[in-house]
Amino acid sequence: MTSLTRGTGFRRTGVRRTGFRGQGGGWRWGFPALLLLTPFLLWPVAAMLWRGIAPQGSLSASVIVDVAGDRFYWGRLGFTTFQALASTALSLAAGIPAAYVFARIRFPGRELARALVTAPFVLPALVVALAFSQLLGPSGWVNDLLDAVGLGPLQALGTLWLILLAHAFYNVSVVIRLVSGVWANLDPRTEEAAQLLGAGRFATFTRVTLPALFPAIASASALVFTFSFTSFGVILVLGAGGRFLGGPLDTVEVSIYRLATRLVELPAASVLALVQLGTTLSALTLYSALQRRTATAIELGADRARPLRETSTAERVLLGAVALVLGLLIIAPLAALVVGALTTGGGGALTAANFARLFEDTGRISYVDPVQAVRWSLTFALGATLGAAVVGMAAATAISRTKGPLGPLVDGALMLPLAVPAVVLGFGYLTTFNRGWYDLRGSPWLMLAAHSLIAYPFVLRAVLAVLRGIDPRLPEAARVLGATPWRVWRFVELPIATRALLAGSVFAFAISLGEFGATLLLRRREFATMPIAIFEALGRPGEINLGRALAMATVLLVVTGLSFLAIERFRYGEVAPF
Amino acid sequence: MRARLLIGALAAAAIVVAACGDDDECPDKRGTGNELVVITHDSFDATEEVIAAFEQEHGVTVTLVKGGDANQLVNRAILSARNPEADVLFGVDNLAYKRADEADVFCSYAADRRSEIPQSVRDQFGDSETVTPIDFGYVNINADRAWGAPPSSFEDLTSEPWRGKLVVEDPATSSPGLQFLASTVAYFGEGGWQDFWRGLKDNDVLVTDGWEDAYYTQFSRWGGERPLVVSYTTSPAAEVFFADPPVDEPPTLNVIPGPLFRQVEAAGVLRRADHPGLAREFIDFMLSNEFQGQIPQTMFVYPVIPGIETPEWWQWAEVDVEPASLEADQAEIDRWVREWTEIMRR
Repeated sequence: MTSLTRGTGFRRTGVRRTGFRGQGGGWRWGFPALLLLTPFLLWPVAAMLWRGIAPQGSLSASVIVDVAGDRFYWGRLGFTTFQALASTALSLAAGIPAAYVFARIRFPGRELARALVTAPFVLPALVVALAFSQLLGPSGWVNDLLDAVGLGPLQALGTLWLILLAHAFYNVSVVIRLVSGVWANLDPRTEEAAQLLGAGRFATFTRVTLPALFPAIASASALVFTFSFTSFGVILVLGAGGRFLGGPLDTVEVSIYRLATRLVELPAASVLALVQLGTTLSALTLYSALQRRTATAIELGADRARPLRETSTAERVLLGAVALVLGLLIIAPLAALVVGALTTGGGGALTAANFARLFEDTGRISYVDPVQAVRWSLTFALGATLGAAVVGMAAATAISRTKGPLGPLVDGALMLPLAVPAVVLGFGYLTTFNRGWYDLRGSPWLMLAAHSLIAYPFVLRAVLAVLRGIDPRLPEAARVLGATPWRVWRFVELPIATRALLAGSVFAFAISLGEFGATLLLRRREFATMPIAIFEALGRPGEINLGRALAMATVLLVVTGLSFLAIERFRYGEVAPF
Repeated sequence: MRARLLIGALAAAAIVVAACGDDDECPDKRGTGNELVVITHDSFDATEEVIAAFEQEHGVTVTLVKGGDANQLVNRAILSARNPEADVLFGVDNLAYKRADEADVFCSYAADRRSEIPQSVRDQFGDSETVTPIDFGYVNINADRAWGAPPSSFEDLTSEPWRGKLVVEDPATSSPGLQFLASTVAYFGEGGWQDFWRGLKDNDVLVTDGWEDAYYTQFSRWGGERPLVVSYTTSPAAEVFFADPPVDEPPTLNVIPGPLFRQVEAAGVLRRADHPGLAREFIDFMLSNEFQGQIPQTMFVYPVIPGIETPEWWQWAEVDVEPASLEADQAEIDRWVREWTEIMRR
């Protein structure tokens, strides 16, 4: 394939039509997504929302008017949007320099570092809250340090800052992975040509590199924005008691949960759910249209991408700065967690007692065997990754081949799994899968379907960013030479997208490992996962229980890190660069 | 975590009023079938031994499903009333019961030892045979022993010395939160509890979503900065049981600020269950000495049958509480929560 990408030289961006949309037949590629979405998302969610806004079987306008006239909810919508934008900006600010470092600089422990920065993705919010309170709480590390140098205590819990920090903690890896994947594979000759033609370093970056990276940056931003917009656990736990501009730190998602959980306010909850769906759908459609418009043909040349070369002084400084930021943002909270697991119940001294305790069968039905928990977590994660890869890859192909304004709309709609309030989905599952042959309650297959559903948008985003950057002349040339549409996909698009497919799959895997919403609803003792084991331990008072929870969270981290390293190995071992 | 909620969700309950009192939905056949499904609240626990004994005696497999807190359990039962998820539901309490009763999700059953359950406990459910009380507990305030003398009344909590010291759970999302609210309603009366809560708000009370984050991130015993937390009267005993290394006395103290709402947890046979006979056997089994005797060490609540032998460390859970008298129907409870939300969150 590589021969086809050679020799295209430097061209001004924006001149050339990009993406390969000349083929049509895109809708056929939409089938896998429809097969997953219809029964497991559209049907249950529609049934539930209809029930909410039409309690008597016909639409109730008064509920909508009540919610629309309530300034409190407008405040929530404003706050939700603001914090999502701020979280996205923060993640980009920390993530883009780091993406450069991972893409272009060779340093010891690079793969390990990459695995570590993605690890936060799998941690349940309650565990992240424990980690941050060990770090920034009143008797946490930071305040101990401040105290030692005579500075006043830092009040972090319940502030907007902590929420933004936690969102960046979760999401910076999305930016790093998606952007560095493209960055590492840009054909260096394009930049070199620009410099030969007299462009300075800055001009080369802004006019050559940045436009090539834009689809990946936009993809990452869309994911981070959606994730932060629908943030739930982090807000509930870390935002407790906080105020911002006269209102509580509640997102729309949190408001929906509060209204729905006590039944009486289901109609208002449904209206807010529609607002959340509408807002995220519009934002994602807009973004998708923008991304398509700005996508530029990327010159990819991994086989000749510069061997990670000598680093300049400036790069060494950048490396140091990135290491410092990621160290404080990600490594420090993770370290607080691990140290907590190694000291709780040990009177301050390091001890492995909590880990030993995981293996002590308490003789109660609440006991979760850690080996089984790891096994089930990995089983679900592998299955969900496979499902997400198939559905996400096919959906990305479908969108990249859809012409006209329909494409971005379909794209936005396919991201719905990230925008549907968890309570709405859970409620829908209970009322839907409860009869006859589709009584799937208690089936591990329903869990697998739910995990795949939540995971595939990551594959979709990663792959679509690359498909849209394909030089259209590649598939066109293949067509002219007589290739069938299937062969064009198999031998042109798939190889080019392979790396992005793997990057998306890493997140699909992580999402499944840490998934807690659907998992909690569909859990059974017979297939308890690691997050469930943590939840069981944290539900009871006492040192031993906290110790078990922290130890299990550490196991989850280690298993995640090892899995990522294994995936990276697979990536570099099995798949030839395109 | 995004999910505790999933379930929570369930609202519509109110909408689906299930059922009529058809006899076919509660057939009187004894122990048939080979699998019994029991849906329980999240805090349910039991020794493997006692469950295995039931399985052996009846030649069945017991499948346990955890379904959220009492409120969420009832939501689930109402939502799936036409095709219940389980045969037995355990964990409905006296606050969530009214809603379950209105939706008619249970079949009546008079358990063999029903008469041994104290009348005052049975009265929490209007002495109805649709559910059988299994255990009870109290939500109170736990104090960090390291902070010295704790407050002694509800009124103390709104006084200057206790400014910024208390963590409570949101009654809209948390079962102990709702029980604590119920205690204050009982103590201050229908017209007075609102002012007490306004006072708490002025005194910088912290509201968390659930018990886990209140206890493990905000309570000073575990890294937070507030020495008072709304928890259970059995939590100090649990701190002793789960201590490492072992301790002679708990690191936390029970504060009884006044009469407390008594939460009674009950079990019922679900209407249209597949195995109604086995379901009844299981309810009888839950009142047996074997099951009642392991309740303190597995669920940390009080057995409902009097005179059950308890372990030594259970002394830390022995408290002198005057149960608050409180009669409330579902609409009233919903109104408390709505008013509370208005006062505390807006």
